Amino acid sequence: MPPALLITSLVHSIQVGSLYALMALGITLTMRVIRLPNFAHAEFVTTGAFTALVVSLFLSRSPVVILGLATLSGALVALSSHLLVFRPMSRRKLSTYSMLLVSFAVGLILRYVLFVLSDYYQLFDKRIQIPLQILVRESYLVLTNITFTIVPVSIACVIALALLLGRTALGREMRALASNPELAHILGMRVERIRSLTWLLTGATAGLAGALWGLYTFVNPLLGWLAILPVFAAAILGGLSSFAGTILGAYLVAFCENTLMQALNHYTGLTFSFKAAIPFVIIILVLLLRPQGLTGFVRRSGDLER
Amino acid sequence: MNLAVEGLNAGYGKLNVLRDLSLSFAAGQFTAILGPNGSGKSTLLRSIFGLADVFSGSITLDGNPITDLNGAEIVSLGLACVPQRNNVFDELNVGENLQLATRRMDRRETARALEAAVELFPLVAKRRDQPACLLSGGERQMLAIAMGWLSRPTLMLLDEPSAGLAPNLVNDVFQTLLQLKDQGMTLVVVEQNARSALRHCDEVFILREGRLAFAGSAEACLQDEETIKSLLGTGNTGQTLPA
Amino acid sequence: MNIDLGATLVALMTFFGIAALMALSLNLEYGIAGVPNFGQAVFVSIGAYTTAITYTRLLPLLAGKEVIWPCGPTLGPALQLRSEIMRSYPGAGFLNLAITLVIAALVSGLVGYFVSRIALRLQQEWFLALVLLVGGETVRIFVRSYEPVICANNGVSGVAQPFAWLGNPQLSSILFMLLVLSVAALTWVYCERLVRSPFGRLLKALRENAAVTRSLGKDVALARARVMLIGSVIAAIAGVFFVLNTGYISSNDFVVTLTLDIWVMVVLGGLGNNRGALLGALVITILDRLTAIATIQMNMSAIDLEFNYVRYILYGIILLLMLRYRPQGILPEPARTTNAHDLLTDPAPHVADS
Repeated sequence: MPPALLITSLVHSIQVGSLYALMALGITLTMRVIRLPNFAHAEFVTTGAFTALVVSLFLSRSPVVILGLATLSGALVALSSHLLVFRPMSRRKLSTYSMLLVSFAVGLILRYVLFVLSDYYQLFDKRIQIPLQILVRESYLVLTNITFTIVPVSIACVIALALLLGRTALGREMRALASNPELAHILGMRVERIRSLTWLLTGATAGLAGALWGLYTFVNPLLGWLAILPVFAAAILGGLSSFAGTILGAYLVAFCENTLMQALNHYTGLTFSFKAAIPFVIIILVLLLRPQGLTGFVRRSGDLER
Repeated sequence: MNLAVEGLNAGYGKLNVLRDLSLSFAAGQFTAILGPNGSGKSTLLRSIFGLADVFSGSITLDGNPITDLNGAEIVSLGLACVPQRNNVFDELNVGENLQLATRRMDRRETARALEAAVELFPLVAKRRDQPACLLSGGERQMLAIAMGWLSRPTLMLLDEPSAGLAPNLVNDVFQTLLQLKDQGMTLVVVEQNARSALRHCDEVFILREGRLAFAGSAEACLQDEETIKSLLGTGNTGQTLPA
Repeated sequence: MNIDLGATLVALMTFFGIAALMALSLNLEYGIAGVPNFGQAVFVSIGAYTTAITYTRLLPLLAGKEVIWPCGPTLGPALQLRSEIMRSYPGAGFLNLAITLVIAALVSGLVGYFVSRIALRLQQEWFLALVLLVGGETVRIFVRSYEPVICANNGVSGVAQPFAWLGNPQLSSILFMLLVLSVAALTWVYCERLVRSPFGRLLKALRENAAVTRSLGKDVALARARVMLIGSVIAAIAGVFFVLNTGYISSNDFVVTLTLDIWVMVVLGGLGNNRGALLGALVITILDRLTAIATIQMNMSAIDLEFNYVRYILYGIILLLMLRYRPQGILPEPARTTNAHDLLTDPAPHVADS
């Protein structure tokens, strides 16, 4: 494989992997603490992307403002979904499948409301207005300020999240709730408050990830939905429990999608239209062959489960 | 502080376990709740902590109903509960487990409480940095009791603290509980191990099929070997299985 | 205006028949047996892709013609050949349909059977749902990228319904409707009998408590695989009719949202009740039409709303409202299933929640 292709695809892998990690951490957190495989996470991401777009079009072009408001919007959408839908539903003690359907339904409503809004305000095919600067231009590689925004911001956010979970009182309570909700109740932990904070946190990371993803590709109402299955692949590869595993899983999925796909194309002539199938094949193989994910190899104090 | 149950019907979903149960726990006493498997002992504890469905009747603390309170509110009233299984956070280490129990204290208070806990529960202190899932059965039980104790309850409910423990460990657990009683704590213990329980406790309630079958002092209960035999379903009150 | 109304009704009832087949299939799998098939679309699509292959490869042979490659530069002539055969060789058309149904049923049934056997290795209960969902998308991406099946992104068009040779569109669509409705009716009768059979009782027991059922010496895995086989066969038949009805086969029709449509029907009608599944299919079919009409009305009064958007928002709301306020559906499952709990506990007087 020509070095230029290899390097470019590796840069893509790192960029996409960082974003997948950010989204997959939210999925893992909801999975462990709320015990919900939340497909509506996709639309929290999309909401963040649209907020970033609207803010950049009408309010401010400062990256800090754009990313900050996107984060906020993701958090608010997640919290209101929790308060309006997920919490009342979980009181009905529905089966896992029904809760899965509920998350699908919430996602569906949000997604098509965004469709209606972007149709009405003609937001299709618009880009987030952060001026593009080319920072590195070599014969084999072009790096823009977008890459230098996405990668450090998402990695910093992932580290912050890991520290929050591993080192703070709130993180400890979240892990305790994930480990044994009944005991958390008995010990008098404020379970509802911890749940709400978890939703806020996952929503915030989703909103931020959405804005960054929108910078990387472009903003449309299917943005989150198209990313969510690879993100689930990453979370499952990580065993749906450990933070370290999830992060590793995210980079692995991104690597397979970019570098491996590039290599397959180069050596076997496989067309790029198969690219989207790669994470799905990963999900199926991991669930069937190694459902505990990668966590057998990776252990850390920040883990939500052994 | 007086915890009382009046005309309680409780269970899970459509399953009614406790039937018209009325009893109360005297302050400062060590009370044992005995009875065969499925008699509703654990359900009684679980309904006090809002973990079972209360169909009718009342649970009151000093005359105030606590049926509609959440866990945090119940704990703040001075109640603590040590469940039977899954009573520590397996994925967290021992230190973190203890810290969770002191979460409402300030830094200085926490330090003092943890120091006191080390004195009371020496087994636990040695293993602060280990994940709780690696503890032995006895250490686990001690950690669970320590966690209950750290919330500084006036009344502590324990669900079969001796379950699955070797006889010498059972004795350790009861010695620890007696120490807590000496501190002025009211204790309610659900037990299968009737002989150990009767040896240490003051009051006894025996449940059968969700109803109260015996209430009285431990001495009265011990003298009435016949009642015990029929109620607990074994001639040897010390073990569930004949030795 | 009268004719219009008639045609609308025929289209509506045809679509109802197809939707009913899909709903009956999912009701059997999830409602009765508790297997969460979030990949319904893929089994429907197997019927569709089979149709694409037989109508482009087998049909000319049955009519004694040379097969023309259906994609690329020869797309036009192949399409022309198809339409000509459908117009003038009714025998070949019917034989081809029969063979299509058999192949689709076989392939889909076997896929359903083996997916279910493999899925036994899954650890958490919702993993099966995820594997089916993702498996469906994988198949779709494969078909979309691999030309020979349905000419990749182009799809296969000009698949006429089996009565097209009559030359009278009205009559042939009425006949097609009758065909679809009678297959749906037969399937319903079959499902009803299956639910009442010992096998049906086994499935319900399995749904309530797999461990207890296993301890009674029943082969749980085999029972699940069998019900997936049956359900997948029904879904594939629905898929064949689906593409015959639209006349066009595109991988874009078989996305996750189709699966969700079917789930909405079953949840709305009533899980575990075949009549509920039919009712759900009917309500959703009518609702589809009504939203379409309402959207047109709104567009005429200058409110610009895309039909599909409204439809999916509506479906999401229906799902949420049903699961929140009436999880048993409009027509709940008739008799309460005997479960181990009832057998083990004495008949205690039930005390209502206070």
